[in-house]
Amino acid sequence: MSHPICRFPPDTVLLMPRPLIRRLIDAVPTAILPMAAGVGLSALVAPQPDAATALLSGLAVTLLLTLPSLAVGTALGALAGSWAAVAPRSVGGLIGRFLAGAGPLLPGFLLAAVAALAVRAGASAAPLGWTALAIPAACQAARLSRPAMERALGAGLEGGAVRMARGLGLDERTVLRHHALPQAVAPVMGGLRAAVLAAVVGAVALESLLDLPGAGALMIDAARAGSAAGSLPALVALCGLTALLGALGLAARDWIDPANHSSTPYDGA
Amino acid sequence: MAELDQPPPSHPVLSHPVPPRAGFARGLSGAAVLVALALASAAAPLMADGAAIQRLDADPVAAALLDGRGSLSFALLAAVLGGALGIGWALLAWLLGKLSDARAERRTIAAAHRLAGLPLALLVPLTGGLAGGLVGEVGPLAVVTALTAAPAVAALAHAELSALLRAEFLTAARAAGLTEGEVLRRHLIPNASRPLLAAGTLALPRVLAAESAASLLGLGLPPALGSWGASVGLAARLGDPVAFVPPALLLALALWATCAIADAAVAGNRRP
Repeated sequence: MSHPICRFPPDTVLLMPRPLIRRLIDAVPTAILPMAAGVGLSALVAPQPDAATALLSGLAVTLLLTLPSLAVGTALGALAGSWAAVAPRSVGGLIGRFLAGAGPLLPGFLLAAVAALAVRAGASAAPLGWTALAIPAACQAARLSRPAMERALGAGLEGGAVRMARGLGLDERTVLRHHALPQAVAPVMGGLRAAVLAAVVGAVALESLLDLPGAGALMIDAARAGSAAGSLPALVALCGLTALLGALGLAARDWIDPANHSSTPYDGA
Repeated sequence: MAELDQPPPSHPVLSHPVPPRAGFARGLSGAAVLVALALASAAAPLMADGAAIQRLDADPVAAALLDGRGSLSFALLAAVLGGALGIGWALLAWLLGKLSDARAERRTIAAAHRLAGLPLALLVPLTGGLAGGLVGEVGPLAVVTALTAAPAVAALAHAELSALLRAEFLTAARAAGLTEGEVLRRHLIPNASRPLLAAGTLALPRVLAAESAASLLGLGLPPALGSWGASVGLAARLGDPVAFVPPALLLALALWATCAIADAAVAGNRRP
C-alpha cells in the first residue's frame, strides 16, 4: 500500500534489482576481475599449495566482517544524522551530532585495536569486531546525512519536494519518511567510498590483531615473512573487494535517490 | 555607470564585513591542538629529570609523548612529499591538456580518481614487511606513504584548478589583450597557489593514518623512532590498557586535528 504521491510507487519494488545488476555488471572489470586475478596469481606463484583456496576463504571472511558492519553502521549513522537535523536536542539528535563530529577521532584501525584489547580481556570477538568496523561507517554517514537533511527540510531548491508534500496535506511522519529521508540518505550512499576504505583497513588490522583467517591477515602474515608472492595477490584481491563494496554502495544510491524515481528527466544522479 | 567602475573580480575590494569562513574556528582549534602535541612531544625528554633522551617505559604518558616525535615528524615529511606529488600530478594533467588534448588530461585525472578509491594505505605495511632489509631506512617508507595520499590530493587540486580556469576574470584578462604569459603570472599563479596548497593539506591526515595503521601491525616505522601506532598495537597485543590509553588518545587527537586543518583549508577556498 502506498500513498498517492509517495516518492516510491508500487512498481519501484519490481525495478529494485535493476540498478544493482547494472552496477554489478559495471563493477566486473574493477571488482570481480581483480579478485579473480588475486586468487589466480596466488595459485600460480604462492609457495603454499592451497594458497588460492585460503585466499578465497579469506576474502569471504573479510567480506563477512565488512559488509554487515558497513550496512548496519551506514543505516544507523544516516538515521542518526538525519534525526540530528530534525530534532538536534533530542537523544537521537545528540547521538547524530556526536557521530558527525567524531569521525576523525575514531578511525577503523584504532577501534580494531580497542576491540583486540577487549577480546584479550575476555570479551567476545565477533560483536566487538563488527561494532569496531561499523562505527567509522556510522560517523561518515551521519556527517553526510545531517547537512543533506537540513537542505531537504530547508527553504532552498532542494526543499521543494518536502514543501509540496506538506502543502498537499501529508502528515509530518510521511513527509519525513518518503520525501526527506531519501534525499538525506542518497549522498551517504554516494560518499560510501571513504567508509569502505576505512572498513577494509580496519578489517585488515582486526584480522591481524585477532588472528582471524581473513585475506588481510594473510597479506600481513606474508608481508611479515617477506613473501611478495604471498602478499601481493592478497592485496590485489582486497582492492577488488573494496571496488565491489563501493559498487554495491552506488547501486544502493541509485535505488534510493529520489531523482531516479522522478517522472522528469534528470541528469544529476 | 557605477557598475562599470567595479574592481576586477580577481582583486575585489571588500567594503562590507567579511563573514566568518566555513570551518575556520575548527581549523584553528585543530592547529592549536597539533602545535600543543608537537610542543609536548618535543618537551617529553625533560620529563626524565633532565636526563638524556631515552624511552620512558615506566611512564606511559611520557612514552606516548616521546612516540609523538616519530609519528608527527614522519607525518610531516610524508605529507609534504604527498602534497607535492599530488599537486604535481594535477599540474601535469593540466599541462597534458594544454599541450596535447583534453582526453590525456581526463585520463590522467581519472587514474587519480580510481586510485583514490583503492585501499592504498595497505601498501605501507606491505612495503614495511617486504623491505625488511631496509629497516632503519625511513626514506622508502615515506615515499610509499606519500604515494598513498597523492591521488586524493591530485583529484582535489585538479578540481580546484579547473574551477579557477573557468573563472570570468581570466576571460576578461585575455579579452583585454594580455598574453598567456601575463595571464599566468598576474592572475593564474597568485589565484591558484592558495587552493593548491589547501588541497595539499589533505595529505596530512591520510599519511598519519596510513603510518599509524602500518605501525600498529608492526610493519611501519622502525622501533627506534617510536610511533603512536606501534605503541597502540603492542599494548593491544599484550592486553595492557594502561599502556594503551595514552598513545591511542594522542593519536586520535592528532588525527582529529589534522582532519580539522585539512577540512578548514579546503572549505576556506570554496566560494559561496
